[in-house]
Amino acid sequence: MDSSMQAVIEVRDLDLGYKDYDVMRNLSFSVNKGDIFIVMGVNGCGKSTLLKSLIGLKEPVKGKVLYSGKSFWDEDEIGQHNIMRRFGVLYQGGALWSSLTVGENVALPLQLYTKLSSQQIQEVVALKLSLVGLEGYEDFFPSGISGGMRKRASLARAIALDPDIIFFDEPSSGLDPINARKLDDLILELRDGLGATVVVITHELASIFAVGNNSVFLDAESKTMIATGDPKVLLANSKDPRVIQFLTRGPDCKESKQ
Amino acid sequence: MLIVKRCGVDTLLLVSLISLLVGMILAFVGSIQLKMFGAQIFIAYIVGIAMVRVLSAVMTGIIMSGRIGASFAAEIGMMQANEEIDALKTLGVSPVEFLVIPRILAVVIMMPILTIYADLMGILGGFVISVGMLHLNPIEYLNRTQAAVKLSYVWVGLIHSFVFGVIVAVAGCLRGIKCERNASGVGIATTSAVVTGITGIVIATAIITFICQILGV
Repeated sequence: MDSSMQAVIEVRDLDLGYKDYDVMRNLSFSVNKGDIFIVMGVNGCGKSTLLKSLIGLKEPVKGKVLYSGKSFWDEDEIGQHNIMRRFGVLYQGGALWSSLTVGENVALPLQLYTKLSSQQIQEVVALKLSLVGLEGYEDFFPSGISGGMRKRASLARAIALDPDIIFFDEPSSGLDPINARKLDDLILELRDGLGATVVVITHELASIFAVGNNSVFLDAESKTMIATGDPKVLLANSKDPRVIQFLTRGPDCKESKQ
Repeated sequence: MLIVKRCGVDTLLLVSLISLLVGMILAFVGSIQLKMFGAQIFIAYIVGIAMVRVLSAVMTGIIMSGRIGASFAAEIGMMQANEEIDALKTLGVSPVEFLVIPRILAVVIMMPILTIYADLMGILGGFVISVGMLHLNPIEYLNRTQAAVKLSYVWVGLIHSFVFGVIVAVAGCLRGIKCERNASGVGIATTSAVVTGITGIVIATAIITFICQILGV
């Protein structure tokens, strides 16, 4: 197998749900090394629930999530912990620990999992913050910076341990177009610079086409995936009206009047 | 350290006020009955024993439940709503180790200290009323208090305070962890933490009192 096509994440026959409520059924797809993989779909289709299953926060009803061949939910606590060490996660609202400063937020993973001295940790923190354009903000508390800055600070924390898989949950939500574009550029830089595999949960079309090279489309009505592949190719070739409607922002109002 | 400060120094003023007033109320109420027998000096016994054995710990526990238990539930509940706890879990950090245990330790360390302080404030409250309004001899009052308060009573009070500390902290943290991820969920968690804390304190007081009765302490 071509190393560039090596599957880092494989989802097999995954069913997701809450108690008696089914969210998604029969999800099967692969995320290859170096992919920027988009999980897309309309609001409430189960994108965030899928993310929770991928990052180990919600056990699926059925099926497997494999990381480099290891089934996450079949591993013991230590095995799961070792797999989780490979992730960085950017949560929708940033999820910075509000009682810690921005610098302390980025430093905590380093303090927990490396043997770096405090001086070295400070240097790494400064480097990670400069990567996301937040140099000099070490001593600010999350409540003292803007929403966009919180997201970037959260990204600095997510990449503190140089993860090989980075998950982004709605990275552009709440950001203005310029900052959303900057974040897209940052995602590309992280993939190219760190060699990371990136999974992005989003419904922002601009971001989907700007960064994605592979995707899965989740449909709320049928509660399963209905398309997979490069979003640009899906836009050009898909025959499914639900996919076309989503990727073209629905029917043109003027056209539908005519 | 910040949590210890919040549980201790920041609660001191409230503990002072409530304990002082409870000591005063006990002295007043006691004097009404004891006056009939000309035995007002025994107010020192009532205030001393009641405060040291149980009332200081109960009042401090209730204050801690309202102030600290509620704040733990709201703080951890907000962290739950903001996905901060998810962020800890994906980092492989146990929220119990990172958030709950330090808070329980802080409350359990501060509760006995605050209870001893509340004992002193309660006795001071009784002293002020007995000497200032009922015109009892101050030296006699203090001597009687010293005679009334045995070391075993102090230990009983400290055991109460330790148990209440655990109840308040666990109720606050548990309600916060179990909080639903929205604003009303945080409100419900906060209210529930206080109700659980106070109910737990009353039940624990009854159980400890019953055990002390059996052991003859």
